[in-house]
Amino acid sequence: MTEPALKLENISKSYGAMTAVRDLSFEAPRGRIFGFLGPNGAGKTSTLRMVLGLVAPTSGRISVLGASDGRRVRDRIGFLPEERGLYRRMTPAQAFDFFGALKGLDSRTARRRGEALLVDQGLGHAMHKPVKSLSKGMAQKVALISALVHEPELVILDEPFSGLDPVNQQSLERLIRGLADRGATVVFSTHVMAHAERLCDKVVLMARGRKVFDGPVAAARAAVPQRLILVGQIDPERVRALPGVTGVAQELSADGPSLVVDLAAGASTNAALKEAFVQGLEITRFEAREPTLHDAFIVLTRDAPETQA
Amino acid sequence: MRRALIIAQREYLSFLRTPGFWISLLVMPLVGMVTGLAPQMIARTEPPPTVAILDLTGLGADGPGPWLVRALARPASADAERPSDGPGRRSARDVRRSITVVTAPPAFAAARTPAEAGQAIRAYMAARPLLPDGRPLSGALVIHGDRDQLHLDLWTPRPQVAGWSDALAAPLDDWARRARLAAAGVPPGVADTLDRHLADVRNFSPQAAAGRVSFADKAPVLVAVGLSFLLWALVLTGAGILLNTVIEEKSNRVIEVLLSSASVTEILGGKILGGALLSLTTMSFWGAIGFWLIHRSAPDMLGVVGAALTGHGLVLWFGAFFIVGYLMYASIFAAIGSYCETPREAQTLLGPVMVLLTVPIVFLGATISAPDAPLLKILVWVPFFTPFLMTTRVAAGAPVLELVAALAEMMLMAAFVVWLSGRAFRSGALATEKLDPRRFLAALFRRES
Repeated sequence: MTEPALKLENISKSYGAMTAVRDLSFEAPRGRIFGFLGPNGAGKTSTLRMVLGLVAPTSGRISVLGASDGRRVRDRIGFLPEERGLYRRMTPAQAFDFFGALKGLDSRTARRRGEALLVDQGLGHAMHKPVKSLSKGMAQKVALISALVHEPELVILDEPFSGLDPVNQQSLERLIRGLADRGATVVFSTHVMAHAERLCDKVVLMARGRKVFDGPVAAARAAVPQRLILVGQIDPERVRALPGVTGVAQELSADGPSLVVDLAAGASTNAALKEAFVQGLEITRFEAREPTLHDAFIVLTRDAPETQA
Repeated sequence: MRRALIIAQREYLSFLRTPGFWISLLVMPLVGMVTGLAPQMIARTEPPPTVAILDLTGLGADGPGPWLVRALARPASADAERPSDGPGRRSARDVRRSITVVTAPPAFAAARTPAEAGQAIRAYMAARPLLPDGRPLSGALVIHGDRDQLHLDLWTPRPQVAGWSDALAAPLDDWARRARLAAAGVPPGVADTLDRHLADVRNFSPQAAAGRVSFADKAPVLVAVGLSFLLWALVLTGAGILLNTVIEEKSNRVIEVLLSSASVTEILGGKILGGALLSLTTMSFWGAIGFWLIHRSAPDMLGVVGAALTGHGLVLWFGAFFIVGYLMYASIFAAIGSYCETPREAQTLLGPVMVLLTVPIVFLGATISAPDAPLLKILVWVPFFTPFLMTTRVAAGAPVLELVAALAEMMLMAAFVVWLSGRAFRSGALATEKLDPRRFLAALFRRES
């Protein structure tokens, strides 16, 4: 069995009296895109810093590309911090040179690889322009490419989509998929679930320093109730009696009065609808709404306990 | 080591490419030249002082007033310099030559007593009228008393700058001496020769190469003080550059990328090395300008300065103190920068360091005349002051044991400061909370978890 690119076992991190991460364990398989999700302050950045070896865990064990300390394999890791991460006066060419050299790459190779990625992102014309003259989206791409020129096995991206417009987000998603296609493991943190939903093979959800979910995106979605929208003059009490229904809320939609019906996890929307029609409920329109990762995120993080020591 | 060199190279080249670096490189010598020439420039633009003399002794044409007027009107060639003249005599003679005697304005020319003259002069000067030729009156000298005891009342609207009393008193001392000699029956011809028999003062020192003290013997201490100022400027400039780059890296999160690519030692080492190379570039540039200026204006001085630099191994000690002093201050500045995202945030923590940097400069001027002063001997043992004050001690011929011990102490302190700064740098670079001096101090001594 292939060793995971990243393996954390019972990791905790405290800063004085404040516990940022508590008893965290997960694995990121090689060659996959791994989402590290959670609201602000969930402990994502602290965890990534422990993985990189920038801070030591208070307790627990970490394995990064087979090493017990990220610093030992730093040349095999590419890291993009949240926003920026570039010298403003540098040109992309100089940035590829400098950051590539720190990872042991010669100047010519770093520039060649960097330029190829830059051209692929439609930014070939920016190769020799100072970063300060580039837009935020362009600079973010340059920063990411700087972290990739040495072709790392593990790519760690901290909130890579932060502040990007939809076009640049899509372009960045394509770049990330390309990394996984060539065999790199991508770990990225975000609190925007849509990106994780589109990109990730596996996610870990964090809330208040604790892990609240670990598994494939589909499993995260299955962990939250499905939802039915029923439009028409319907008695909510009769809907509550339908099989698998856990909650009913009234709302006014463009089509008129409607009910938002929550079903228990694993309950069948078909069974509930069938029973509704059997009972003769006056339904003019219905919609089965699949839970999104965002829904899962809300539900799973809502009840997470505090981690303050 | 490879990564440290890469970081050093970036630090060096990135600043070398900025126009600001080259501007500051040129501005500093200009500021230095202007500072050095400022007193002369001001003196040249200042009109010659005008002095009105009022003789109330009633001694007529043989009185001290006319004697003083004649002495001040005497051509410079008649007031010959002598090798034995010390700085005091030369200065008084220069001032005397610059004074122009003017006719006393009617407002106080008719005064008959010192009190009356004082009152009239006070009223006249308060109104600040101009003389008929358009110049202001710089001073009024009221001479009173008798042959036995002369009194000089010098009135001037600017008492803080007028340094003429001694210059004006010297000819009157001569008059009084001649008057007493005449009263004692000494012929005037004998009195004339007395000036030629004034004591001939000569300075000797066992350190002086030729026994007799010349400028070449004073040069080492002067050069050492100059080097200390240079060291101070370089440390401040180099460490300041380092501070600004770290602040920039902290604010744009590059510091996190660096920390993920290199160790703290490599990052700090590279930055300090890069800053040191910039300082050396600056020093070489300023040194070349200094060499050119001396070569152009006083070529003979090149040998004197060269001998001063090599005497007592001054330049070697300077190099050692520069390296250790720069290392100490640069690492402190880098650690401070790692906690700040803006220069304003840095000011809070820089305050105490700037006080440390100011103290040696306050004492540096005094070291020229008193390089062996007990207070100085104590201060050089404070490691934060050692690099700036010890250079003067080297030039003054301090025992080698003292120099070695001070350097060793400083190296120990520098090692401790670098270690502490490394911890602070790592902690500060990753800190996201608002700057808090208490947390800063706590981070220095906290055990890494």
